[in-house]
Amino acid sequence: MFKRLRSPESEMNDLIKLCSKNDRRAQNELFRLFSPKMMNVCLRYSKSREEAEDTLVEGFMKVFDHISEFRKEGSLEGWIRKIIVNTAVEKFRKKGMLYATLHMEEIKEIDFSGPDVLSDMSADELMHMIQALPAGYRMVFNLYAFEGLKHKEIAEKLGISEGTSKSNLYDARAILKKEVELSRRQAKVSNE
Amino acid sequence: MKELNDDMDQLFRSSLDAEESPVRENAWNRLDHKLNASELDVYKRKTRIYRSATIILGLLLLGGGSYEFLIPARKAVSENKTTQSPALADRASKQNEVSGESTGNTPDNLNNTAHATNRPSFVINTNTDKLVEKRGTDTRQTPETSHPNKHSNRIASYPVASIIANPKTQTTRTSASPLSLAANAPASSGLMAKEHGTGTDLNAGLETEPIGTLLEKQPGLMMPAIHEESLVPLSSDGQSNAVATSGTGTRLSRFSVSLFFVPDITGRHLTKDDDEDDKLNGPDDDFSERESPSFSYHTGVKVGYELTHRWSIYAGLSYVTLFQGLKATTVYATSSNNEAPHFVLNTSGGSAILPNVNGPPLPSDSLSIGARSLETLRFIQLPLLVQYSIFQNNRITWYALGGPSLDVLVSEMIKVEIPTPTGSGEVHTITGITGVNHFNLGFMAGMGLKYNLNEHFNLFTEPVFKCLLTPINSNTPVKSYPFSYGLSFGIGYHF
Repeated sequence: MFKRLRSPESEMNDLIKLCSKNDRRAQNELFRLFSPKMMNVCLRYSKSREEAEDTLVEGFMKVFDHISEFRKEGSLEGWIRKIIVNTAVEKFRKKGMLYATLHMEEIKEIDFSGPDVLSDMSADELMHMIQALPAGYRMVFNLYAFEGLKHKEIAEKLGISEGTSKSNLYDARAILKKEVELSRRQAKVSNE
Repeated sequence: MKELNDDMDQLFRSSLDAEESPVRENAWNRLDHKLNASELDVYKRKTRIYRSATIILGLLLLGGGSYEFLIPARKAVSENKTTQSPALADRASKQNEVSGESTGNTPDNLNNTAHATNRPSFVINTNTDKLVEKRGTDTRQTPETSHPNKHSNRIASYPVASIIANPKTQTTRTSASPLSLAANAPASSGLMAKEHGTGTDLNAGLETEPIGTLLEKQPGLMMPAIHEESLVPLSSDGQSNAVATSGTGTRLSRFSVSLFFVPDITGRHLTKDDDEDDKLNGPDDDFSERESPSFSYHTGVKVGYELTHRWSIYAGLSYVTLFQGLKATTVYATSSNNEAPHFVLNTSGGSAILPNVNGPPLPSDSLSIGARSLETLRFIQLPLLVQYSIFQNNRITWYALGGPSLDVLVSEMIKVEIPTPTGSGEVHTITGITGVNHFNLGFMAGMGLKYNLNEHFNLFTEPVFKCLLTPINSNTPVKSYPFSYGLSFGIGYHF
């Protein structure tokens, strides 16, 4: 008479259980559920879509390998995201691309507090700006701005000094400011 | 400046963090492929470990058995480790007291007496005063107290395997007549000594006397190293007799029965039929890539019969289940004899017609089979095995076994995952596989370790290799010979 309704939480638990048993259909479902968000993360840490896809596939391999270890203390999405970020960091460390240097010209300070500065820019444009950063800068900027890590933690994670982390972040911001300014000027010209 | 930077970080975060990016279908295919490869790697790694463990265990059993079998004299070498047995001296003293021939031999002076009479004295390489009763294939230790009459009807009611003559009292050890101890004579239920070479049967005089007394009566007779392998079971008429007797003198039967369970790893050895080369150009010649080995099992019962104390034969009945994983693949619709086209899945074990889940196919239509497909073959196996005991003592038996088997196919089945129009996969079971042979000849070989729990029950484990000598399929371009590595666990009962 009464149809027993299952909560999304118990459905997710079942999905996790099936995934840990290597049930390919459940793994596919989990992938479809979380891959769009994780792809966005991967894109921020990568130079191209292909590279991001590599990171995504590699990351999900680890997710399925270790999903039985997920303790449900936090959200599954947060756990997967952590694995994906770690995968991206691992890839960069393997490539040894953290010490790229760039000679910056003086960047004029721009006020980012106004609503009109970034609001007109699409997410795609902002993503391209981050992707255009040198690998080391991109890595530090992502870990600092998106993952909320401190310089000490970033330095430990990437195997660099705190000073390098700070300098990479400074340079990354400078490049991004320059790109934003450039983009704003182009928008102004096209409006006129 | 800091606020400015924070603002910029915040604006990037709010613009991008919640965003989603589309993922191409190709990404899942790549992931799926990698997961399949990873599973295969894990399986291969497990297989390697399992196979290595089986081989190592087999080698250990072989090495241990060979060591015991080929170097039996090692037990007599350690003269430096020998100690005079107070129990033996005490026993001899008691015997003399009983017969009223007190010689004054005490544990302290027994050796001296032997020296004075130029007879060998006994030294016993033992740490125990327990008695040993040699019983055919089995040697049991019995507390002295369980044999109140031991001195009168046993000549070797002490650890015979470790009795050696004291070489100090002899100029040469090789000049003396070798003695062997015969065990398990039903008439005496004890051990007998028999002189080899000279034809002199000492049984009559020995059956009721301990060795200590015997040697006192036979000056100059030397007791060489005696070890278990030299113990010859004799019947009352002096002939070899391998039938064991129980502690109470009851004859144990030669028959035994064992139950066993064998988890094993199965695979298939594939060979191409030279006459069918033309058929191999199609998509069906890559079975080894499309099929993966799998964990299987078999269980059964076997009845053994002891031919001698080392050789036995076994016959039995096993229920064998062989699994074979089928990876994701594409099959095509074909038609024959003007029949409607249908999808046919070819495996190295035969062919199966798939159900038309998505409606009747047209010729050359394709269908993708999911990775959750599995082929299962079940056999009744009738093995006939010969077993050789390499080493045996009262508790442990190491043995090798091998022999042919008749494998009768009792069921064949394929579980196949077929995608539905909604994109999900449904698993269908197909019971009819064409081209599978119902009668096959096989062979198995292995090593075993048996542990006697008590007089009747024993536990055993055997690393075994099995293979079919005849292909399981016929009329196919690829001949398939299943094989397996397994580790058998079982319990046996000796009637």
